[in-house]
Amino acid sequence: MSFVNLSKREINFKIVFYGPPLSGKTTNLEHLHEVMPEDVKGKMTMLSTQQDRTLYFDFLPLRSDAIKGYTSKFQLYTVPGQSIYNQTRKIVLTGVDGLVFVADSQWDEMEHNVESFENLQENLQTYNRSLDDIPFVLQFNKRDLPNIAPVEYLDFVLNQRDDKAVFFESVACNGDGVHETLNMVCKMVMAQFIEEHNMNVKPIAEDSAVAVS
Amino acid sequence: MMGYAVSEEQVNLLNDALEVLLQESEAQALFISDYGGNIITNVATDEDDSRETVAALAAGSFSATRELAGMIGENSFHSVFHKGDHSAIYIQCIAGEFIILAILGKGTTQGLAKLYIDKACRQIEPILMETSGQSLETASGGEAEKFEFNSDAVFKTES
Repeated sequence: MSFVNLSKREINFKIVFYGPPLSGKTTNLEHLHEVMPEDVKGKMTMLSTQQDRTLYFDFLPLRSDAIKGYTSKFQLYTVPGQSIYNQTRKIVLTGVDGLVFVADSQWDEMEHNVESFENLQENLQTYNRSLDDIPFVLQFNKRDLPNIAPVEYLDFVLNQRDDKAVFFESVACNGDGVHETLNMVCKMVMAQFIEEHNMNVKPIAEDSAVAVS
Repeated sequence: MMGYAVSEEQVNLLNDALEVLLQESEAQALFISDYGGNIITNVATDEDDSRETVAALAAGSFSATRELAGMIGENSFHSVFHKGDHSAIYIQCIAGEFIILAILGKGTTQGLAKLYIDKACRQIEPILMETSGQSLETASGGEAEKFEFNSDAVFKTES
């Protein structure tokens, strides 16, 4: 749910990276934190278990000047992949503006991909929301590993929708596809925001326009 | 799904109330944010990255305690208090979907902070109720401008 602070001329958006355990959600954020210029990124926070598994969420704030006259602030969150933490996944989805589903391309992980994708849709339903009204990008990660499903298969399994989601192949541990995924979801989120907002802006009435001779 | 917006005037009113609260409660810093972790305004904090992280963590912490409340049959806990050796954090729900967060020094007790925050909340709550679900057009006083994209790439890397 975007938030506009007119006092600071800031627009805030929330992007959530969702997906099965160990699919590379945290790795996406770590890579972004590593490569983003200092003036764009904030402090990255990871709430992890002692085994470095996400316990609550990872958080990375980024800022951009992609909307004229405003600072667009993107709050990037991951959710814990492990199913015992479903309640915290739901909490992290509160007010989400854009979603990235990070799928593990390995054949062995296909069942976990499907479970997590169904769980995402169930959790969105608890907020009366669905993937039809939220900008959403698929990322097929770990494309460098040997035992992986073809992209067409992943697309068939995870992208059975009338309005198909954009997908990217990635190797998050070396950054391939990570930046492209982020830029796409952020553009989609801003496009939705601009479209919804501009639709409500009344055109300037002719009699109130200032004539310039 | 449409979001919400807060006007400059509303932020100024909130800041006035927070400045008074800051002096009375002797808090080190005060934040108002929504449940999603968006900072509405803050006083006595450095303009650095950590503000956003504090707001995100506070919102997450407060949401987690709400779930805990649900587990024992409560709708919500109205406030939470985290106490350390030298500082403490007091978080209170306000206007249904916002939180006020106070960072307190060693000398301020929870009871005193709650007393002053309750008093300030009576002034702050109506302002926040007004902003809840407020459209950008309303917040702009009916003079909302059209938004435009600035560039093709939202984020560029250093390399």
